[in-house]
Amino acid sequence: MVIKKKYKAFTLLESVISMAIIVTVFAIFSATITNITTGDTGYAQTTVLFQINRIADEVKIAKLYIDEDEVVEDVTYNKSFKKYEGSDNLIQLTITAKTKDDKTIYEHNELIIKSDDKN
Amino acid sequence: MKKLKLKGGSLTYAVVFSLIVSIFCMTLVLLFYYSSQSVSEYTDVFRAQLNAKSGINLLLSNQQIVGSPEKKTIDLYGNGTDSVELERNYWGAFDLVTATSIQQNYRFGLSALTGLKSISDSGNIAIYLSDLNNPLKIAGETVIKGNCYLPEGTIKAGNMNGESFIGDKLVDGVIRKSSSQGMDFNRDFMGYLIKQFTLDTMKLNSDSVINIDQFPLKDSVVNSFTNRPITIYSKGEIILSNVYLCGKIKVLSELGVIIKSSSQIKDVIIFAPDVEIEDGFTGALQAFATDSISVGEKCNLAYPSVLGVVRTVASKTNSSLKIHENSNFAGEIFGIQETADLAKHVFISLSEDTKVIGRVYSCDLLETKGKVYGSIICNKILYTNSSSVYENHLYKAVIDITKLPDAFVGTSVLKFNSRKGIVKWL
Repeated sequence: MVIKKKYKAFTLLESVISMAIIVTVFAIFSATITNITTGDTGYAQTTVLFQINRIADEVKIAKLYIDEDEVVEDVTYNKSFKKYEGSDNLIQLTITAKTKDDKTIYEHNELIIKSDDKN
Repeated sequence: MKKLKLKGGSLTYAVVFSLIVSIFCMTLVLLFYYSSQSVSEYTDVFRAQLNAKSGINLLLSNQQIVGSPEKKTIDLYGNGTDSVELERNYWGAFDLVTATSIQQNYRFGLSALTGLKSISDSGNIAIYLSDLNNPLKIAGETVIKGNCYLPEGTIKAGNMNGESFIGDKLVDGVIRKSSSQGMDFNRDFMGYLIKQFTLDTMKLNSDSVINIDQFPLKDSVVNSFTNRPITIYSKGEIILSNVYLCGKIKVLSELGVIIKSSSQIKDVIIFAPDVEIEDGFTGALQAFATDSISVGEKCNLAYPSVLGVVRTVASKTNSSLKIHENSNFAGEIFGIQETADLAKHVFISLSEDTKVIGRVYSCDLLETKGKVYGSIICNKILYTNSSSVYENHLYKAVIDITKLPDAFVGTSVLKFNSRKGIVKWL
């Protein structure tokens, strides 16, 4: 005796609709992930702030007031000094962080006392 | 025959799966959003702190930008985004400076006590003794380290109490000739100080006055330097015993102030005709008197303490400041007078085994029997014992400018080439 076995299966229509939903969801998911990973300005900015802090601290410790550029991870940090108007011993330190395509990410300005004392 | 119904099973799976992926996506989006927000907040905080620090540096380097007392808002870099509110006020013999910066919703303020830091040779000397035609003589184990300005540009070994000078060098440093006028003090500062001895000035400064003749003083009074000053006032004598006073507090008495060793005092300023600090007291304060200041034995006055006597025209007696045996002091001690009077003197006396780290200035007389790690500046040096008074003599004294810490910042009492420096962050 031949037993006819019945298999449960999805209809073609069901399968097509399900696949369409899954493809759409995956498309949205990948777009979100791409946005987050490529456009994470937060992470980039934190890194830039960290580097700027480091450069500013080095200037204050070394007491060397020379304009120069430094490149760290494709970001160029331009360090420049100018005398602050109205004060003999005060200088304005500007550190500008720029991308490869010369786009300014962050500009740091600070007034520092140009002296030998430890305060 | 039964009609078989097919369930949309795959659709259910697809919807559930989509839901899970959507929740995951939403979580990521939210995470990204809050991360961006926190970075933006951090940037504001960082910028506000930087601008406040720059504001303090501006106040330190440029005296004209904000007077005292004055409050002004300044655009630091002229771009309209980095404004700071700068404020300068007197706090005793120091300046109280505050810089407040606002970025978006974040407000950050920095306050500090500032003073003068000598940048010239005349400010970094061991002894400046006016040239009144009487050279300095030293005896016993006296140690002088640092450059000195002395009468006739010389120093001699003397003999006191049957003891001559013991040591290799009279002075371990360069000796120059001093002037007969001596080192002048800042008379504007004296004018400000004299005004502080009246209640009217405190009221003009908008201080919150606690009249302890009417209300008893609490055990503990603490006032932040961001608030208005609190003035504790009495027409009579004020006895500070078992109290804790800290911060922006002034104590003003028209008779005298007695500070018991049981009281704890920090950053407070005291104005009275007579101030007495009893034996064993420990704290940091600024005390100013018109008649006398007495610091008892085994007291410890920490940096930045200031003791100053100001002899006014109205003073009927000598103005004196005495630190008794085995006491330590870090900061500045000064004695100044409105007009010179041959019959009335300003006399500062440092007893045996006292240790002073800082500067001692008397526009008139000074006696030192202890150790001064810093400078002494005066018209005449006295040495008294039970039987005699010696003029311009030092006996078993130590004056060593090389042991003065580099970070020492003094008051505005003396006029010499100096630069503003931070005394203390508040």
